[in-house]
Amino acid sequence: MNNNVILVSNNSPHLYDKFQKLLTEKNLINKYQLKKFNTFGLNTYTSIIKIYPDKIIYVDSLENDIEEIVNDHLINGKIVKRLLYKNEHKNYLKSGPLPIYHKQLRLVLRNSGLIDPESIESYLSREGYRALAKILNNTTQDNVIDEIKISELRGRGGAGYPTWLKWNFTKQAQSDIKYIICNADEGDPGAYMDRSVLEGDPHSVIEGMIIAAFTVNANNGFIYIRAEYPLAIKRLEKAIKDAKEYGFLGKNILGTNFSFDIEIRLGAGAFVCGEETALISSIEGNRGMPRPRPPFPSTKGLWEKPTVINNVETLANIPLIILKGGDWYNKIGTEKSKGTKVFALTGKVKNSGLVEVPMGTSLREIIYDVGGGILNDNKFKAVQTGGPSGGVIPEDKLDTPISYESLNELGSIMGSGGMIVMDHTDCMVDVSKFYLQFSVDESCGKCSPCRIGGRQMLDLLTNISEGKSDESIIEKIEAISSAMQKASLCGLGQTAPNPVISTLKYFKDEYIDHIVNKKCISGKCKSLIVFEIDKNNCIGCHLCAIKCPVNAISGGKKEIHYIDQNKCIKCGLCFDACKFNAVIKS
Amino acid sequence: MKKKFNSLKEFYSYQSNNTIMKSKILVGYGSCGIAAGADKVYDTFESEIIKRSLKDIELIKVGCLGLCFSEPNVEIIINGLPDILYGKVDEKFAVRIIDEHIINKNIINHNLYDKPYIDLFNNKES
Repeated sequence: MNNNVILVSNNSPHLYDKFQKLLTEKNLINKYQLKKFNTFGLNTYTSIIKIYPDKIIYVDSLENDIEEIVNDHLINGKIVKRLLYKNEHKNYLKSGPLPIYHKQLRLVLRNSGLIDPESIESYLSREGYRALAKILNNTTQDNVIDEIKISELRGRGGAGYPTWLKWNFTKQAQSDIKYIICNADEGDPGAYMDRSVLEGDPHSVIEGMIIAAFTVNANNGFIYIRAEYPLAIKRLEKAIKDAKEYGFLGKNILGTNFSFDIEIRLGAGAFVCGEETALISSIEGNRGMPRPRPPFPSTKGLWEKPTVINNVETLANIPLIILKGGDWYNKIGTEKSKGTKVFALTGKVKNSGLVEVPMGTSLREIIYDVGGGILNDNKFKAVQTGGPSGGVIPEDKLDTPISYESLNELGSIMGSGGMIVMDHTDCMVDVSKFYLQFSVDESCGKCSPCRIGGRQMLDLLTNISEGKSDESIIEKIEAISSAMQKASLCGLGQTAPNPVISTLKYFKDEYIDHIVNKKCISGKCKSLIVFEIDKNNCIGCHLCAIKCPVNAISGGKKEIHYIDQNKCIKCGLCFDACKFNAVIKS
Repeated sequence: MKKKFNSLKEFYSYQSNNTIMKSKILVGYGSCGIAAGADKVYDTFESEIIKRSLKDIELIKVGCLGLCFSEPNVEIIINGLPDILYGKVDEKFAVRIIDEHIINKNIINHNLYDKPYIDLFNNKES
């Protein structure tokens, strides 16, 4: 087997060609497998060359360096030190594993993509249930709380409440019956972090729940997951069944006095059920509507019993913190936000996908280094975080290190981790309308600020996008926003105005353009654009009229055509179809 | 192998049989992978392995690697060669992977992707 492999990053095809030329000249081409690979972090390095089996990484090599690599390294076995990848100011050398030059750090997704999620053996082979055994072996409940406290883990569902504090409230609460709930009711548009964790590594979440149960003295747990995730449900069911068979769940776990069981509850697709009190009411069999807090679920939750509710990602962190220690975890991240965060990076970005980065990574690093930049190299406009409860962040704020606090300051939120990249073809009025429409649809209707305020605000935004407004409208929007934020019962209503407020803050010009000039530069607000025929260019080919789905275009062959504005639905098909630039969009 | 751990001692003395070094084909089989055709790719691998009676090769469905833009993703782990991740794999390409990479130990110069992170436990970058 020819195990001499050279991998050259595909952003430097000239280096690949040079290798090929030199290896051929020196009659070495059959001794090496020379391949190109797609890499991430292309903004960091102009080129990456990996050589196996030596496990050497050279970065930023130039064409002239290749000769040196071939002569010194390949022929004489002497490593070219000046080109080596440098790690924390030290040259990276042969011994040990290859270094990481990517921006990602995978804690929550540590097993995802590496193990068979339907095999408990697969999980066991990677330290699975070791954290549980560790705490059952020689740890008190207070020790666990201390460890989580040292780690400074905060809730990954979005609000960022300290996990140890939540657990401690429930632990101290006097009650024979206590519950653990895993919130897997992921509903933000474009977010799928929890789904991927549950599909890729369900046991890590189950182990986290068992540890939580041990710590607070709970004997029953529920995973509340939306019914729209059939694969995740299937894998969870299998994982729970296997965990019971192996003795990690059920009576007398691993031969100890501790017993705990988990059941799955399916959500019926209501966004508001991600809110903890609404979720609890849904598990109880009632309509999923929030109730005022306090009392908080940690003291009075499911069936009025003390209940810990944690998000999927939070729970998946727990076994790792127990295994590696709170100190270890605490070293990752920023001063107030520790650990990593998983983001679902989508929208107008080249490498869309799931990324996990340490807190403190900048948005620019996520979008340009991990994400590879903007699709079609278009101009970046904004990035939306936190879904319908979050806001947009413009280009000049891209270097902000991510933390719960920094995103709040920017008028957005961490949220559960949705991250949607937008380019110049996206209209900010349209975007805020989209998110507000979502919140209005999903409002449960219990409190009037959310039910009526959301609807009113949506009407105002619709007026803006249709050119039926004047400048006084902004004041009205701000007044309603403030009322909703202050008076709504739960997070849904309190945060629903966020997309509108933040777009108003950073893109007020675009709103003014819509309101005063009745213009939408990106062409998304259909009521503000008009399609017309340029009489000088039209040759009467009739193609636009054939394409028009509503027969709004008239004119015989070789005659100048005409678009009936009353019939036109502004779909833009005529604009795309015309080969003579005779359809004008304005 | 199914067994119940009746005590902590039993658990600690248990060695998972999952660590035996075999060649592995890992198919990214999350919802996103399946939507992009990972199920067909998996079936192709399965039938090719049977057809050629390939031994000592493990075909595994794994969760999402996070590289949604290049789904379906397939990782090939063979002793002696670097771990290789192929993106945008279809049924035809799966057959090529069996022929060239698995049988002839020749890495295919097409749609190779860098793994975007290091493994926390094996501490092995690939």
